[in-house]
Amino acid sequence: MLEIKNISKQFGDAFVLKGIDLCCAEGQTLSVLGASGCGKTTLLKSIAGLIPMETGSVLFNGQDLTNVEPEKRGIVYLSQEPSLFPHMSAFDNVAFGLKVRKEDASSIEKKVTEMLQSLGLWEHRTKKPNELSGGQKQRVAFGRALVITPKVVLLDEPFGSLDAGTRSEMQAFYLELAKMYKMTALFITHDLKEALVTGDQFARMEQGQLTLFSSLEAFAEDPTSGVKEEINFWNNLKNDAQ
Amino acid sequence: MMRKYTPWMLMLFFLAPILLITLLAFSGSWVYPSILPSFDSDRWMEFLGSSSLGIKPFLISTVLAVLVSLLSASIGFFTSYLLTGKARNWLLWLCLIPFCTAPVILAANFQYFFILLHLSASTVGVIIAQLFIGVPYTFLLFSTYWNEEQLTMDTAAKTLGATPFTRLLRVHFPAAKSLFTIAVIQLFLFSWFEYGMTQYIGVGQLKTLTVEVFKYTQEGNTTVAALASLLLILPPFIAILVIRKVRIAHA
Repeated sequence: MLEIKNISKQFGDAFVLKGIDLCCAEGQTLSVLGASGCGKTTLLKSIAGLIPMETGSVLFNGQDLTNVEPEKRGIVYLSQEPSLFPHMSAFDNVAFGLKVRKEDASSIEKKVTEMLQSLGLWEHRTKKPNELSGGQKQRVAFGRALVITPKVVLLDEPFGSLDAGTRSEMQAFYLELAKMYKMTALFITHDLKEALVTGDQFARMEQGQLTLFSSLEAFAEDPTSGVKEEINFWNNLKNDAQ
Repeated sequence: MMRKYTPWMLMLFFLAPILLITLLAFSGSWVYPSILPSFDSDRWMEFLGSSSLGIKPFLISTVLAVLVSLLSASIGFFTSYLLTGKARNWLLWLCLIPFCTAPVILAANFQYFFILLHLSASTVGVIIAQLFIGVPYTFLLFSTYWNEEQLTMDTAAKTLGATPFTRLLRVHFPAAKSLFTIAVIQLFLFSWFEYGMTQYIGVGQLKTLTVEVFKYTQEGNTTVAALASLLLILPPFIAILVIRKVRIAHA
């Protein structure tokens, strides 16, 4: 289980994160919904160890990772851009984390082949990132992250740069993948539908503070989540049409 | 009509000096009313046969330019990656200073310290002096390379478990290969043609090809000066071909 206790972060005089606590059960996805500038990216980068925190701790299954270097945390951060290495093929991109860990060549070959097949990218294995579509690039980025079996995956609006159709496809693909690899993940988005589709647990972030909801119903009931507004919008549209 | 001949005229304009140098390099005497000079192979053989005339300065220049270009590009690339925040901003500002003064003035400022450190009149001294131009240049060049896209790529590699050294070696260096190659070529040419600083720090002891071409020209030794000039313009030609190849590969 991922446990975050009392994380605070300050930039100058402004507190971007104000004592955030959260828990995410192993194999589950916690969807965090929030508007731009509410501190979502700062929260993920603090958890990954990419930026220092003022206060707080990061624990995974009781192990304190707060002072562990980002390279050794086993927490992978995936951003909106796939950030594939441009000089490497899709195969080499996926193999990167395993090569860094100095795994033997046959084991890398086997794991990467399996991963690319499960991602539906086997026929694109020799292609460079500039030869792949946006959705394919994001799949490679997922494969590159998951092949090293990380403790936690932090997803910072990973489908934000994709068009609506590909985005829906990728959301369905994410669900499959999360189930298949029993992913423990924090999925940050400003898209309500995406939060509802991808999450097992739900939270809302506003002005550096995080509210964790006990269930989907509790999330939907909360007036700030926007679920009710969305339902009302579609109901009104339906009524108007009739 | 004009459009048809313009490329040819331009080519002639650029090639004419090279053709003249080639002609002079193979000439013995060129006396009026001869249209072409007479061919003299003795001085040509003397030039190629004597290590002190052409080949030795060529080798000195090559070693110097290779070391300066590779060291400058590597130091500039690594420091531009490793330095962040205020230190980087300060260094960016400091790196502009060498370009506000001519290399020879910079050399004059260094000379006092170089004499104290026994670096004056030595190859190492000239290399260090040229690095004071080369490193700031590459630092400025590579600072523009580390944009948001590269930094996000660095973050991705970091959380995948790569150490700073691995990230540089396996991610950034191959990704920046084209820019690195162009930087190396530009610095090679800078060092290859450098005269003022080399003369000042080298105190005339370091006989690079450029220094020797100046000497032969001043002596009025036309054939040897032309032969040495032919050797001098060889690397720029190769550099143009390499840059062209890199650009085609990058396109």
